[in-house]
Amino acid sequence: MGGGGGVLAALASVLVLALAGLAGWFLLQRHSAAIQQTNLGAAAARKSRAVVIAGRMGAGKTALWCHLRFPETSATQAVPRTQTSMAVNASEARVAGARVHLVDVPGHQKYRADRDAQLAAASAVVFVVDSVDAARDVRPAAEALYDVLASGGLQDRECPVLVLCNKQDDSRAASNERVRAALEAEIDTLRASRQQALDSLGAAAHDDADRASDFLGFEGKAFSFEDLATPVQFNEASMALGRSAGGLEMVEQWIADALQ
Amino acid sequence: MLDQFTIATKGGVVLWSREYTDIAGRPVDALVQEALIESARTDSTKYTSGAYSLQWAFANELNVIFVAVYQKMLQLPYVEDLLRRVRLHFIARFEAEIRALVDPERAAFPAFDAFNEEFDQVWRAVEERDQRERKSRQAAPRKFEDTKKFQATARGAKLELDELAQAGETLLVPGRKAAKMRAWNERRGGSAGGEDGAAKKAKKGKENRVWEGKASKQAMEALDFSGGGAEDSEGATGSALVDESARGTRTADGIYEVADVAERAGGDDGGFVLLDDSDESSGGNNSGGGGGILGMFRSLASGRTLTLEMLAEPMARMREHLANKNVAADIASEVCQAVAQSMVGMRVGGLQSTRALVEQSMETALTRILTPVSSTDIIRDIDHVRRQERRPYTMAFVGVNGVGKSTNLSKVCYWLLQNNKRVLIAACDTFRSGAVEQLRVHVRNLCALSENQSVEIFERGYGKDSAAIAKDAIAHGAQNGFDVVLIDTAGRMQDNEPLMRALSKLVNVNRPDKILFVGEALVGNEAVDQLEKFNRAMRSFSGQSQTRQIDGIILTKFDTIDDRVGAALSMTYITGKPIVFVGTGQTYTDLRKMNVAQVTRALLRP
Repeated sequence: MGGGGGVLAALASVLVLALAGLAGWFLLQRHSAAIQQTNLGAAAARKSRAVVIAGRMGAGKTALWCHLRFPETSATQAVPRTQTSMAVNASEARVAGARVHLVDVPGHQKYRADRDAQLAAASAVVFVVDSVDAARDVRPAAEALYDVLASGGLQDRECPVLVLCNKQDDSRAASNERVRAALEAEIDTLRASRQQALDSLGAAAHDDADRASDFLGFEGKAFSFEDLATPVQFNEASMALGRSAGGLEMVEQWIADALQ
Repeated sequence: MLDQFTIATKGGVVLWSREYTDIAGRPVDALVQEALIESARTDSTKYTSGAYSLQWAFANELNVIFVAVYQKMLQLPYVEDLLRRVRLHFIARFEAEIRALVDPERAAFPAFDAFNEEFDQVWRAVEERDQRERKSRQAAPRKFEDTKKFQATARGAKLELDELAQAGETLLVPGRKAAKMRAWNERRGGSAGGEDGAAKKAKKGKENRVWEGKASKQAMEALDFSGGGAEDSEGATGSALVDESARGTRTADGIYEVADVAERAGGDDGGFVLLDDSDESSGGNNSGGGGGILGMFRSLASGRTLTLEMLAEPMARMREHLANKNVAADIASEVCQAVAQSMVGMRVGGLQSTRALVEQSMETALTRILTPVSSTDIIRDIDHVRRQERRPYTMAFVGVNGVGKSTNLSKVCYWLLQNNKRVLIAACDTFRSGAVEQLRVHVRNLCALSENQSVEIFERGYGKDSAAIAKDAIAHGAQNGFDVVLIDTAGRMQDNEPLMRALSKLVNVNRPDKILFVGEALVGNEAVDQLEKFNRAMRSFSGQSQTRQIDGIILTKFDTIDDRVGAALSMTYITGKPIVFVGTGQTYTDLRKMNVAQVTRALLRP
């Protein structure tokens, strides 16, 4: 009987030690991950719904991110200047009272993979268009918008999209309606040419690379943004004009509505 | 001298900036776009854009970039030092504010204006240091009297002997008298006036030799160096021998330690100290070596900061891995070096392995290299050219011998025919036997395969000038309403100068919309050489200011390699242009679009 009790005690102590070891291991893992997070370049941990700001290079995404992230500074029109981004800007922020995870992806083509990864987890998307460029040649903006709408599973999740026609303070900027019409015409052509593209290398049919050639809208009917599963809204804005005159309150309201 | 100094996050938010004049254009944007994102081939830290030269530095742990902009024609040697010091000072002062940028509780942008004065101080200190170093390096040139050459001349030799004699004389005479004699000599002009002295001495005539036992009493006493003399007191005081202020310190154990090399203070800076790399505390990790186990526990608890030495081994292994995947050796080492540089300064948790992080960073880097910058939607381009410019879209296929130009040209033709385009094939390979016949067979097959649209061949036989044939073909295509003209050229080695000239002439005369370089996936280090030389030939033999380069790459024989897909990386890295098509077999349907994710996975798979 004493021997049985001794074996039991030994087993119990081994069990306790093992549990303590496991607990310590998990704690250390969490601690290591926390150290990793202190690198500002690392992907920030997401605690709330994500809003992704996408668009071409030079459209004004980082400026919009600054306005939304620093509402107090934005109110006094002292938002910092911006330059071409070479890394993702991601941070928790308070937008119209709600807590959101704001993500600004660089517009350069080389960051396509990062953008697709962020879009895959997005709850709302703001696509910023340079209205001055769009007035001259809408094809690059249309291609970027097509990529955003087709990839990341936005259509499957019916994630709302706001297309912001930025730089309205410039006299050469195209208006809301004109940009919308031009984009619709261009996407109409693009979806045909993308359908005719070659198959992608490799056997994986549902690789993200192939989603970019998904057909948007309905066949036989001219493309219109209403045909999409995601609600698309068009608005005008100007980051340079500051908070009130620049239409930023409308953007914040839209984000608050979209995340409900 | 500096035109602009900018401190910004990598995400594009400008934290602090100082402009000394108006800047034309946006050179910092051009720097980020071209040097830092697009072309990974910058080993130098200097970049030119327009009239400006730019240099930069990173602080990877806080994601901050420091850029200095100055006029291209200036040579400012201290900019690198300035960047380093400013980085140290800025990070030391504003680390908390930079971290607050991602803190959701802070809704106001932190102020960085306080850096204005500190920047001025740092710049002044760096400039002074640079000037001091320059002065010490370029001392005034030596006088001729100090050189060996002078000593070899007769005058020099004589002067030397006289100096010795004088010195010897003063030694022979006891202390005070020696001092008097020296003073007397100096009044007479010292050693510079040695010539006068020498002349006077020479007049004295030859001195008699002093034999033993015949020396005078005075001379004997002077020669007696035994016993301590009060006359040696001169120069024996400690203060004259040792500078008290430069003394070191005595530790508690009584050991005398030499003083550290002192930083000469800037004088009136009121206690401003220029930070140095060695002052930077390395996060408390390296505090005392500790025992093996103790050190390991410490690093487990507080993590470690990555340095180049820590990354050397994982990077070497990664380089070898890439080389095994058929990536060209130079490219593999350049890519690994760039990734290592971007990881320096990052903090790693105790339980995470450096290798996992290295793989993550490599994956991001490789994806970025392989992702195309411009659109690869050829159908859209064809439609655009047909509608707006009302002419056929021309594509030229160039490459070395035997890579599959004609085969892949016919595959592309098949794809275009399936999309209802009218295609004209220009047989500009007028050298290889059977080249034109091969294309005739392809055209016959394709006509049979496609029902409504037709494909034609434009050929002028063998031995003619291919540039002229291409020109006629394009004219024929425009006249008869063809959508696309595909130009097949002869294979040529990249070293063959006359053939490269002929290719350059073809490209310049006809200006095709897309110049596609056909390369096989089996090629290894040769890819680097081929692409560089083709581009260089098209640039240097053109004789024009706007030269054409290779616009896209066709990677052929992809089915013959399993996952040794390194050639894709080498070619994209060298040219910066995308891989437009991938040939995966020898039938008409074996043509694919490039899949970046798949190739990256294949490259990193063990």
